[in-house]
Amino acid sequence: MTDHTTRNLCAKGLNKRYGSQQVLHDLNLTIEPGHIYGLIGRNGAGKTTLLSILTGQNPLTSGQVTYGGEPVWENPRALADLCFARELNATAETAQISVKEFLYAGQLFCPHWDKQFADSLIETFGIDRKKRIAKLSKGQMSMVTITAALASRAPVTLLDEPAAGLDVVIREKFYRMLLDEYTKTGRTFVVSTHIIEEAASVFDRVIILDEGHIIADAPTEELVDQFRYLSGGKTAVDAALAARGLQPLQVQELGPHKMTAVRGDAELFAALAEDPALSLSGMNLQNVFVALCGHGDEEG
Amino acid sequence: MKGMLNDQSLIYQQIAQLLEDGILRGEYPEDSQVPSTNELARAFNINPATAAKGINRLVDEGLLYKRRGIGMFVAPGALKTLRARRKEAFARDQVRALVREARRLNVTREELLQLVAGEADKEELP
Amino acid sequence: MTRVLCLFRNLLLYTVVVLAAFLAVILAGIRLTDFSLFETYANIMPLFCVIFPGMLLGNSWANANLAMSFGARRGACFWSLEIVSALITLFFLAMSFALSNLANSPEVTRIELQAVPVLAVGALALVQVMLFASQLPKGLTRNLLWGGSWCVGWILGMAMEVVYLFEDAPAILRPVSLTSPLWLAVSVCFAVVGLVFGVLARRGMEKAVVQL
Repeated sequence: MTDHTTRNLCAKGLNKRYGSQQVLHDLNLTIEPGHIYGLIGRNGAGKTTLLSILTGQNPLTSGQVTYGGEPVWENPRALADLCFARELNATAETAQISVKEFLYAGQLFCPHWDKQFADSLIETFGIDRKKRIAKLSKGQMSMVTITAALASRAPVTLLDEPAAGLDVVIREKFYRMLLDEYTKTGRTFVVSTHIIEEAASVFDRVIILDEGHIIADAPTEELVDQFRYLSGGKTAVDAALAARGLQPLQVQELGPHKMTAVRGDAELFAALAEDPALSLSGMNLQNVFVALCGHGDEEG
Repeated sequence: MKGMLNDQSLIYQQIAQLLEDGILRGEYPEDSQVPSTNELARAFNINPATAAKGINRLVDEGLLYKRRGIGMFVAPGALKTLRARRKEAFARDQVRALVREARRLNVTREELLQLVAGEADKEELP
Repeated sequence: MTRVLCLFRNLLLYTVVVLAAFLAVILAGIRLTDFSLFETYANIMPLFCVIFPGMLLGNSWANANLAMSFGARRGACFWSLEIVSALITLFFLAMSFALSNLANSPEVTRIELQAVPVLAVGALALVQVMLFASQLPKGLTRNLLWGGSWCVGWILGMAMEVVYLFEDAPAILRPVSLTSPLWLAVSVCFAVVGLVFGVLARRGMEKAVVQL
């Protein structure tokens, strides 16, 4: 298949173990072209590991990762289309190089690299190219990561926590840049983040990773529409849950009042709305995420 | 403009709603052009696919039509259709909510009708 | 692979320039002055046959990581590192040999041409050990392997000097050449060590998790 539009980045039965610790469990994932995916998960869920395995920068324990049907590992055709923009940190040995050298490496290895774009981005961010990466602030390091991601012009670009260390104004600017680039080129982006709600409107698909398992993989609005907060008197709520065999998520109680998140479809919610003793309200992506992944940290 | 969006309903529905409100208020007269998918996406900092979904909903409901190469336009008769639909929704959602709240507060049918008539007088409802 | 080599071009250029300049300065010093310092430098140069490449290759693993992080293939990175380290080592040996012979001084031990391959095999083998060690996390093992190869390189260089310096050295030690059974055996041992660590380095690269 030489048609770009049909090149999916797929993981099948992906497992990753570090020694005796299993970090990713039997993952199945398809990244289709032309979407902005959000990869969300708590710290330590395995987001960075997943992204590095998808780009052949981390060997998997079992399973396979393919791009356009071909394995990604050591495959120049696949690697040419993939870009993994990692989080930079000051302690790494590579941090001793300058921003200029870092971008030069990007230019060398990314066949679609746009030097003019890279230069204008660095200027927009106001970063001194001669400065060593280790000497940059956390925010500036993120800006370098973002520059590499956008200037790579790779058909599939994966970004690891690009918003880390950026203040809210620059974050908004980043989302805008990302959307502009996406609108202009239709490139595929996979963005991992734990700052969820801000970014939710940018992602048209979302993948939730919880302790190495994929617990959700759907269009954002479709997923969010499956959840509601159900609240009312304790007895009323319990009765409703029991009657419909619903699993309560993220239960909170305040005296006789009880609130819980529930998952269902439009029919279910319409039926619940009929009950005057109950009230339903919508949830946003962050609420959904906390409801699904906040297990063990709830009170009450 | 992102601050205008809330959590209570899906974004594409809110986009559709905003355009409908604009049509009802006369900001978008019939046969005038509405903002494009990309313009909306840019204004609200949202994914163009989401903006497109909102617009497509209005196209499906016959409120907008597409002029190839140019953009999306308000369909003739959209105002009428929209008013009729909103009236239906008004009855279904707001009136029902009113009656339910009345029941919660132990307001009788008589009292409720009197209250409504009183407000209508104040607002000079024709 | 040419692209990975591009990353190293500055390093290679630096090597050539520094060594050529060093050669010129020492040579001039020997020919034109009476300071025995220059003769000393010329004599001890072979002892640095592993240390010099080691110092320059210090952050080569970091460069390889950088390349792989942008999608370079592991195979390409490995062979580029091999080529670059071999070029640096061999160029250094060539300069040492040239210096010792061009010095034309009784104080400077002349390295015979036939001795160079022995030194080359040893140095290249020890560089493999260092390449493997640079993949390891910072710690005792890595330091031991790194420091150990520097020491062995030093000893090899010194042994060669000593053989030529002292007339009453045992005859079995001369000549230093691959034709001599003793030095052939030594070279074979080094070659085996080099091969083993080379393979280990290649495998390490294959399994490495790219980190920036």
